Amino acid sequence: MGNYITRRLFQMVLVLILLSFVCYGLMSLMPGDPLDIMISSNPKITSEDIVRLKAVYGLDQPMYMRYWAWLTDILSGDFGYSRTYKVPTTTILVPRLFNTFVLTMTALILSLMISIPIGIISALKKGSKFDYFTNLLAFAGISIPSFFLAIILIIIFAVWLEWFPAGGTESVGEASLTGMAYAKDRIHYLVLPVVSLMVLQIGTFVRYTRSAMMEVLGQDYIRTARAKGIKQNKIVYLHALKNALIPLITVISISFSFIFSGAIITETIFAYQGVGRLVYDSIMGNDYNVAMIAFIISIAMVLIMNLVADILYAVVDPRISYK
Amino acid sequence: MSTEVLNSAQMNRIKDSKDSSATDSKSMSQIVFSQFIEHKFALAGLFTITVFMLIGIFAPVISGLTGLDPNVQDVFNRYKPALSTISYSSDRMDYEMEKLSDQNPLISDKIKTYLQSAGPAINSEVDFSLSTDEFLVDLNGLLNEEPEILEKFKTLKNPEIQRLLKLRESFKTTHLLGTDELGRDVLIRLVYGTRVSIGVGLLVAFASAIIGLFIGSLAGYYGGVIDTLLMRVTDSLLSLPLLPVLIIFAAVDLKKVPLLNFFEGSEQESVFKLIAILCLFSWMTVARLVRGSILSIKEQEFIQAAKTLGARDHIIIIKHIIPNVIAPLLVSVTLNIGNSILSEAALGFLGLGIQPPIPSWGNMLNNAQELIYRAPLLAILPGFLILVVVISFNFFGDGLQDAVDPKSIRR
Amino acid sequence: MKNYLLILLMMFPLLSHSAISRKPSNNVLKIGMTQEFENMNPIIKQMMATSYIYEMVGRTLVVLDEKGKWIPQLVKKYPTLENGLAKMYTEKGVKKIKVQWEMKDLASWGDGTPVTGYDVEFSHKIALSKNISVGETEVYAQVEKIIVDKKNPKKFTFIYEKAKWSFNQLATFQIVPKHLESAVFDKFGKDKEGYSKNSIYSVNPTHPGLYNGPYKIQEIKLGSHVTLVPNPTFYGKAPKIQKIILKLIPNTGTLEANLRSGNIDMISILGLTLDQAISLDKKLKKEKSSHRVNFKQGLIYEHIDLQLSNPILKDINVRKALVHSINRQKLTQALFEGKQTPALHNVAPIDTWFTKDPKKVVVYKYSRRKAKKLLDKAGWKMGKDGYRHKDGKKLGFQLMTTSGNKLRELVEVYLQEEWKKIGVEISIKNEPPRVYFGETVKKSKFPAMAMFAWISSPENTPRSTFHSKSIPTDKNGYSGQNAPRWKNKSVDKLIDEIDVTFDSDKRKELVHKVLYHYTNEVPVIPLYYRSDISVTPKNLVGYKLTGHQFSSGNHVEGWELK
Repeated sequence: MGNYITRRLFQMVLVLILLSFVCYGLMSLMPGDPLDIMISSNPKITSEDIVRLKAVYGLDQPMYMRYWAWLTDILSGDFGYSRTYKVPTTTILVPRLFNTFVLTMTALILSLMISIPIGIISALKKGSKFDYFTNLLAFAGISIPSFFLAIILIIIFAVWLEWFPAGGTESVGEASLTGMAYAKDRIHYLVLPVVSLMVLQIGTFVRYTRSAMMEVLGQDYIRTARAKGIKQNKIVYLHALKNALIPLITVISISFSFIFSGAIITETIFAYQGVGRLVYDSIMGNDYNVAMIAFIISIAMVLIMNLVADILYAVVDPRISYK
Repeated sequence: MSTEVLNSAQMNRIKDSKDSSATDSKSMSQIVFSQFIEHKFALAGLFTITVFMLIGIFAPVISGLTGLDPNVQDVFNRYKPALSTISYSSDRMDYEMEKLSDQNPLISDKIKTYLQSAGPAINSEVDFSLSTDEFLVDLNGLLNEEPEILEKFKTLKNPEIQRLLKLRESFKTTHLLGTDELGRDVLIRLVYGTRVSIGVGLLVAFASAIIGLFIGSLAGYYGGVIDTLLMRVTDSLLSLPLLPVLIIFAAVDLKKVPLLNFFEGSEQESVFKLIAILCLFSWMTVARLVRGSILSIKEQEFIQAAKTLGARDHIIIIKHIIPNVIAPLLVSVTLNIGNSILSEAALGFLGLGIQPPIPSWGNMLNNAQELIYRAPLLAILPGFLILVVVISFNFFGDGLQDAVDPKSIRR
Repeated sequence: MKNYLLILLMMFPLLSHSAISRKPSNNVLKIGMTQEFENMNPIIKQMMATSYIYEMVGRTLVVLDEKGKWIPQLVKKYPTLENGLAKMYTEKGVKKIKVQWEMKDLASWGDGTPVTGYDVEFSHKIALSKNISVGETEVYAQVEKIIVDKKNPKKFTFIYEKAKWSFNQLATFQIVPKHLESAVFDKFGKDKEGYSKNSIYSVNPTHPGLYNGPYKIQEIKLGSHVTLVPNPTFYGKAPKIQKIILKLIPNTGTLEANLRSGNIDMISILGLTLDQAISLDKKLKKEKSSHRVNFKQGLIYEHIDLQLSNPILKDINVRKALVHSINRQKLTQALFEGKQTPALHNVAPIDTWFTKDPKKVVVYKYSRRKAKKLLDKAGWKMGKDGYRHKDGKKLGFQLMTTSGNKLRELVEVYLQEEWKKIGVEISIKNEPPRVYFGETVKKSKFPAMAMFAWISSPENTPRSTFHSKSIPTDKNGYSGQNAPRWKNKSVDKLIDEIDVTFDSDKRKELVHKVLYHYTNEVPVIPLYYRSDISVTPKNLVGYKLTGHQFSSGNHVEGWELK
């Protein structure tokens, strides 16, 4: 097992470096460089200005040279400098990563807490009214365009009812809050974006839990147990649940891998200071350093969570073993 | 991973039931059908999809029957509420008159000569100095401004004049769902939007199914290096953060991509670009699914038998393997359609979707979102339609899955 | 399905409900904006939102006020040749200008250090140093030498390398504190972008010594908000509003929701779209709300560049027909409800150089008939398909603009229908701004028509847009902005002449001659001048929109909430 994990980790690093090159290449495929947009709105910039600025930004170098410079910088611990904001990448990225983590983690945990019981109940009561209703809502959840939902939430809860702020991350300008008051303030701002993320996730998780549970309930040993009259035997159901967990692990691990990628659309609409919006802006503004670090983090998370999922399979199901 | 396992298991069972179909009173397709119609939501979904598909296909017919055109605008009648009947703005009337005298200069001349001889009670205000192409425009303006003269005109028996008056009567339209930011009819734009949005969904889903089928069968059938290589590519693509990568691709210049510059410059360029981008990132699940199924099928006796009988590889893949993966493939395609419609809307929200004037639900919703306080229907309708159609596709896919899954038969 | 219908029905009353009625006080004013801002170092800042914020915390030598007049800011007097502060002289056969400046006695940085000529000299040195990313250096480079009076460092002299009439338009000449920044510059100035990365503006942006304006920065969170509080050492009158918070809300819809829900009190010029503003304006008026929407005619010039290397557009009759056939008056009335003005040429009505005299410029009356005649004359005959043809070719153009800009897309579709009426087929192709400005417009690669805007300042010599040397080519590194590839020898000559004409009336005459050629040859179809839009509480007094790039933040000390 230890051997297997080491091998997988080694592969991961290779894939990561390869994909970072792909991302870097993709970004440089986009036409225009950071200077062009600046130049084209200001009729006063001269050709000398352009040559000078290109040299300053290192844009006179070919792509692979710039990539190499970037890679060596990263490996030596220098995360670079954000062109857009004119501060070190970490200064802008770390708080954003934290905000995104708070947002997506809250949404994920709450969704799991709500959807797994619902999914199980609806599998047990297949065909009941409750099952129909959850099914309908779950499908609605995965089918509604996220920005449409967000706009409706804002109109109802921020503009009309004025229960929650229409957007933002925390109250600004007031005397700086500490402790519980700060947490309360943050939660106040979190509610709407969290809810809008949860709707989609609950839909997905309910459906997966329900189908995984039904799959197991259809197995022979459960049916035998039922046939023998053990109608509501807890042990049987616990056993069933444990087996139903396997497909769920995949879904959950995939969801976990996105906790640092941010939710571009939700963050934009709610003016939430997360990493998703930052990535969008840095792609559009050609802010390589910021976009690349954000890419690396989200790719690494996917790879790590894949590994974690594989290990968890072995833990849940002793029949699976890795060499 | 687990989905692969699940699906290959399903496949085995389907085959089992096929083998036993001789003794069974129902055939496989009958079972699937009877299973499917039990799923009420799926049935409702299928019905909704059919209705919208018909609307999409017959969009030009609807346009012809109602006389509405998705691109005809009337900027003086913007943001009209639902059920409003509006007469053309003077601008549009002028244009219609111009068109009439351009297409049929005789009418203008005939009316002119008739009016010249009609006597001062009627023609005192008419300007005869104008040329043929201006005369009708001016006359129409006069009739708009002077209702008394209009009344007098109605009594005239000249057929050309009556034709003119009739044309003027038709200068109004009813907008069932109101008008948009350029005074275009919202209903007909939604109808055409159906065509674009569902069309994009279908094309993306089918194209990515074909790509996925191809790559998945190559990997699954040949195994070894090909398998490893293709599956690593698939995994890598799956681990890329989707939306940011889509954004990059949407910003990439089409001219530099050799295959796609075919569409360069055409009106539909943005549509095809969007389809291409979405395809690029939605074939991976299909490929994995297909590969998983093939891995479990290819070891079975009938394939081994075909191989020993000397069947060629592509014959085996096409004749034996693909029919066996069709069912799960169909399910995944159906679900993919819904996702593609949602992706179109999401990219539209970021300004990277289908470009105007082509209407799609995504760009209509995006255009209207900032004006939701002024014209709520403009945003609510496309949003609601997206919801309804995507939910229908999802239910349909779910029903299909239940139907082809033999475990649900045993339930 | 019933549930959704219910929700849908429920929403209608919700949307119509919500009158804004709030009265912010002098304690705090919260301003919303949609655009990103960066760190406040005035020399290297590039974003519009940064300038908007900076104008509240930092001042420069001179600035253009809301009436379009140049006024002194940090300095005592605005130097001109007439008042004797500027003098022309000849050195080695080159005409030069020497200008005397004197800082206001009270002008000082937030930590109490006076603002002196040494700061100006130091800023000039930074801006022209090699390893720093200043966009436009011309404003600094034109000053050959700065001499600071050693006895009274508040006094200093500029020597310009060439005598140009616009020597005193120095609003973009930015000043940073030498006593704080010189150590950073000495240490890191030699590295690439070393100064930018280590400037105190980046490292410790709330240091009061960095700002000399009416406010200083209390808190700055990039991508989120900036909090300003009054700067006690400001030279002018003390600001009334005790705290200004500028919030970034990237989505315009959410921005409006924030205003409605009371999260912000005001929307800056970097905020609402025109369509949104028009509908909000109507609604606020109807509700007799506590807020109002302000419009002010601006300098931003929206136009369509015509590709003159296009064989069809080479024909001047076709170009004239295109202008004749669009009703710009109607366009601005119908789509903008009269809140923006139709354009005749690149000079906006609020500019002193403006003219609409038909004797001086060619004014195109809207007439489809005339347009049709011109096209007939050019040999384009109407076909049965409703479009014009010549030698088997259809009369059609590709119209391009930035995608995601709703107003432009609206105008685009409007024009498409208008031109269809005279038999011209327009196909629309939009690109994301970075592709469009980075490739298509910059390298003049658009096949026929490109719609975009120039953001100019008043009395701006159109050298980079009209001069034939400014045609972007591979040779000059695509640096010019004459995207239509317009070549006119007399215009080239006139532009060179304008630079050295010191008599303002004469200069105006020369400009009008340029405008005559411009309007006569139609290398560009003028569309409209954009307006500045903002939303303010009605009890905010002393706030004036400017319409040009130097925003109302330049008189923020006069704002008051009554």
